[in-house]
Parts: sequence; structure tokens; C-alpha cells
Amino acid sequence: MSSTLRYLYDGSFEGLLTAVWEAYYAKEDPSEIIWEGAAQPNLLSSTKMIYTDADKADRVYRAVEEKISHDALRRIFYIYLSEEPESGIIILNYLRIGFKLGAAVDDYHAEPSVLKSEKLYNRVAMEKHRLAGLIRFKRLESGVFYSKIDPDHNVIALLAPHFAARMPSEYWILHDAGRGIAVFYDKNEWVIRNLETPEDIVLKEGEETYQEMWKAYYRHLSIESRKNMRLKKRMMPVRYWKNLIEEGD
Amino acid sequence: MDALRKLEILADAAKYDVSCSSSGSNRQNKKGGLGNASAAGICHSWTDDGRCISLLKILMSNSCIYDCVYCVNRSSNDLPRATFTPEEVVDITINFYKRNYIEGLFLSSAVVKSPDHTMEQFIEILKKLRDVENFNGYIHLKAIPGADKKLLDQAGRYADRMSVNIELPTEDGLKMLAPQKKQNEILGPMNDIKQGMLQSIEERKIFRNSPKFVPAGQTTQLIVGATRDSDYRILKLSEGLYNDFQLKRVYYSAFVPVSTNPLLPRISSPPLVRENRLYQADWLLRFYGFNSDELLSEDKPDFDLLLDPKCDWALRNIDKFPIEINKAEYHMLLRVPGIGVKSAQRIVSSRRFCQLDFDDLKKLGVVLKRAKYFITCKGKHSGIKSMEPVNIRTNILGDSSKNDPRQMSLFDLEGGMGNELNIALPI
Repeated sequence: MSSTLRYLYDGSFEGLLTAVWEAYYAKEDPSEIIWEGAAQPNLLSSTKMIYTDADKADRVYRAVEEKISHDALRRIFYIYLSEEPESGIIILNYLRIGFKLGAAVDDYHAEPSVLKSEKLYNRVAMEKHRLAGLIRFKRLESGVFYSKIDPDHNVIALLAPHFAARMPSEYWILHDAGRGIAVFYDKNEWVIRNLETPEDIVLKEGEETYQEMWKAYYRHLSIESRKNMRLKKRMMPVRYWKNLIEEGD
Repeated sequence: MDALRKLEILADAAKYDVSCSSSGSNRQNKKGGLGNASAAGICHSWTDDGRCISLLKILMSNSCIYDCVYCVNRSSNDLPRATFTPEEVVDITINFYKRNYIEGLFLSSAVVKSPDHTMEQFIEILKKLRDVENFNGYIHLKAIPGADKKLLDQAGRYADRMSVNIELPTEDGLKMLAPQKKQNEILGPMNDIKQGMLQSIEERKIFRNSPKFVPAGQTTQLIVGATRDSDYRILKLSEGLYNDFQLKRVYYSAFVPVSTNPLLPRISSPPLVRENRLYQADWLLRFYGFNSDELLSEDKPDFDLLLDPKCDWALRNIDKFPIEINKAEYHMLLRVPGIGVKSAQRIVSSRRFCQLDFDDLKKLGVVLKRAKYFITCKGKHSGIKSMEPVNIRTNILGDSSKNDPRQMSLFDLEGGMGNELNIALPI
């Protein structure tokens, strides 16, 4: 009886690319590629630990870009950021077909591995797009614009360039509270660092006036005779409401 | 009166304008500036009626010199009046933008003192935002009918989008409900905006830095159900606006009874299903290659409220069906109920790799419940035996009657109200 094989990696994108390299060069067919921190003991499968290797990762990275496409590279990076347990194996299966078909792979929607990758990519891209609108900054006493979010996927790095282009002349922080990380922008460049949820934040004087204005605006814009909460909830899922000024508390 | 109270009054007065889209412009930020425009548009919130909020949509003032019967701001209406100062509009816009509440400003107004005076105030606000505050976010400006063309030209250099609301689909309707407005006063500025856009495109071919003129194009709004105009007349008008004036969007707004004037129809709720049918037909004109005469005619001037316009068309042209998914041309795939633009594109690109079956279609996003009557896959048909329109219609209506028709219709209309996320209409 041949047991199934699973790869464990360190959770980094390089680690994941190293796992892809390993599957190719060891001619193995793992059924799972998962972050070691999320791995449950499993007696039925054999486990192989993947040690991140920058050179191997780099070779896979360049191969994807040259032999498939830049879009494919973006797709696998977004899938990696989804942090879904199946993201690793979805990437491997997608790349296997990608290396056969080249840039045309993204058109092969009827192929299950391609379709799975497209769906997961879309989920991450959708959340990024939604949050570009749903993020709310509060101005703190220090003058910094601070925003807390709790996204399903690890998207703050995807959102940082958007706000850096819009608000180049302000200090701002984009805080993924669930993951304990944040983008810090210093009017020049942005970096990602760890950040615990602050105990209490002190708002700048006058900040509440703008919040009140926004809430009033929001209330007054709805047309009572067209009320349709089901439509609203479909467009703006309830899980995002807690960090909105207009829906919070 | 403080700014908060003014905001309440002037947001309330602006909410019946349905457009809230922030798309179509890719204005870049400047050094030391604030904001840019995202070509795809971004929604920032959704109100309880399910409409997206993208822009700070306000009137500069609701003190109107006109007395249009259908309008909540008519001068004879007894309601609180307010007028923003330019400084107040600028302050709220900048501070809302920095907090990521909005993509930019949608500025409209009642006609204060005169059309020219109102436009001059607009220009003052736009100059302050763009030149003083270095604001490069999205600006949608309502052109005031009857204002001097020079003012319109000036405003167009600062705005991303401009619109002139037609409001009532025919001159007769205008005469009855808005006697102070004339149709040529509305179409005139539309034509001026179109000419300004064309001229700017020509100039920019020679001088690359010559200013853009309303880069996101112009739109308009029609009120549906305040007059007796048929769907056919409305759709004909939209088609003309798209073809002759190159409008980006025509918005349809179900008439909300805001007045009990005897000239207005007595209705208890806005005609939302009809509005929805018009949006669906509008999409068919713009993205599906239909023309208005295929959808309606003098003999059949209104849409079937139970069936979407594409289904209705397919049943009247049943001799063209069923079509074979693996062979049909793209423009014909688009005409199948249950296949949208996106799924038609995916069918065309996927069938290069393999022959598609019904399972594949489902994965590609085709709504088989609708499409199955009109297609074959590898020669197989999975609809009903009869190709009689009556029988197919009964089956389709049977499927959808399980849902509340109002909800169903809104489900079909992803994005009709100016929301930017789901622009493809799944019909």
C-alpha cells in the first residue's frame, strides 16, 4: 500500500516555491503542501520537511515568469496570501499544467486545477478590492491616520501601494489586527512590522466631528421606500461591518 | 447653521440621483498631492437600500428658483433649506477622503439665483480643491442646464465626469412637469460636453500636457414612471444618447413619490421591476450587441415584467435555437439567456482546449437553469422536448416563481445601481 505524501514548509513564499522545486526534482507527487505550524499529526501519510532554499525558490520564480507569464506569478502569490490550507497544493497543480501549456493556461477554465486556482485567486483579489473601499482611517492624537482591519486573507501588503499613491504626504498605519501585523508608512516608504492591538487609542481633537458627519451622511443617503438589506449584505458582507465607522458599535 | 446640519439636508436632497460611480478615470496623484482615481472605481460602503456609496454626493444648495413638479427641491415645497459655502464643501471632501470614506466628490445643486451663478460657485469649489488643496481624487460635476458655455468649458477642465440629467424622457413630459426647463437646454450642454471632450483629445495629440476634459465621460439620468412614456420610447432615447452623444451611462431612476401633485401618477412604491428591466435592456444595448428595435416595438412598447428582456427576445426568436455551444460564434453565445459576457468569453477560450459538456458550462458560470432550453453540448440537448415558446416560458417562470420576484430581479441586476464590483450582468 502506498501511503500519501505531504510536504511541510515554513510558511514563507520562498518555502512554498522550494516545495514546488522539490516535487519536480524528486519526482514526487505530494497530496498536501502545508505550513508546518498548521499541520496536524497524521498517521496515514508520510511527511517530508522542506527547508527553504533561496536559490531553488528563485529558479522556480523565474521559471514561472519566463515559461508561463507574469500573471501566473501574481496568481500564485495571491493564492499563497490566501493562507488557505489547500493553497500549496493548488499552486503546485496549477503550475504543473502551466509549465505544459505556457501563458495560455489561464484560458483553460474547464480544467479543475486551473479553475480551483482561479477561484482562490479571485477570492483574494476580491477581498483586496473590497477593503480598498472599506478601510476607515481614524486620525490619532499624534496626527497619524490609523486603520484596523480583520481580513480573511493576508492582504495588507497588496493594499499598501494603493494608499501610498493616494496619501503620500501623511503618516498612516494599516493594521491587520488578527495577524498582529501592520503596514507603516512614513511619507517616503512603507514597511510591514508586528503590531499588537493597542489598549486604547486617543483620537485627535475634532476627529469625532468628521465621524459624526460621515454617519449622518450615510444615514441620510438611504431611500426608505427602496430598502433592501439582503442586497446590502450581499454587496458588503456583515463580517466587515465591525471596523466601519458607520456600522460599528 | 453648522456644517453637520447642512450635510444632513443637502445629502438628503441629493440621494435621488442614482449615479455614484467613480470609474473611467485614471487621474494620477501629483507630487505632494492628495488622491488619485481608480479606473475600475471603488465602492466605499452600501446603504440600507443596497446602493453603493463611492462619492460624497451632495447638493451645494437646495434653494431652487425652479418649481418642477416631480422634484423634492421645487421652490413651492415646504422643507428646510441650506447652502454650503465653498470652504465647507472643500473641508468635508478633503477630510472624508483622507479617512477613506469616499473616492471623491459628486457635486450637484439646485439652481441658486441663476444657472450662471450656480456654475460659477461650482468652479470656485473645483479650483480650490484642485489648485489650492492639490486634490486629485474623482470629481463628478452636474452641469446646470442654461448656464453659459464658457463656464461649462472651464468646469470640464477640473472634473473627471460631468452629467446633465434629462429627467423626463419626452418634451411633453417636461412641459407638463417641469415647465421652466426645455429639452434643448438639456441637450445643448450635452453636445457642448461631447465637443469639449473631442477637442481635448485632438489637442492632446499635439500638446501632450494640454488639460484633459471630463476624461471619464458624461452620463445622464431618466426618471421612470413619472410620466406615461413607454419603455420603447425610453430605450430609443438611451440608444440615441449612446450613439449620438457617446454617453458613458444612462441611469434609470424609478420614480419615488415625493409629492402629491395631481399631475403625478399615484403609486404606493417605486416601479423597481420596471427600472430593473430597463437596466437589463441597457446592458443588452451596450455589451450584448442588441439594438432597441429587436427588444421592443410600437406594437409591444413595454417589457414583460415577469421575464427579462433577453429571455423574452429568445422566445420570440426561437427558430434561431438551440445553438451548439462548441461551435456557435461569440455574438450568438451572448444572445443565449443564462450566458453573460464573462461566461461567453470563457466558453470561447476554453473550447480551444477541449469540447465542453454541461458540467463544464456550469463550472464556467453559465446559468444552466436558463440556458438549457436554448443550447446543445456535443449535440445533446437537456432542456424540454418541446421547442414551443409557450412551454419554455412556463418552465422558466416555474423556476423563478419560487423566489420573491422583487428579490429575484435585483439578483439579476448586479451593479445596475452604479456599483462597480459586479459590472457583468448575469443574464
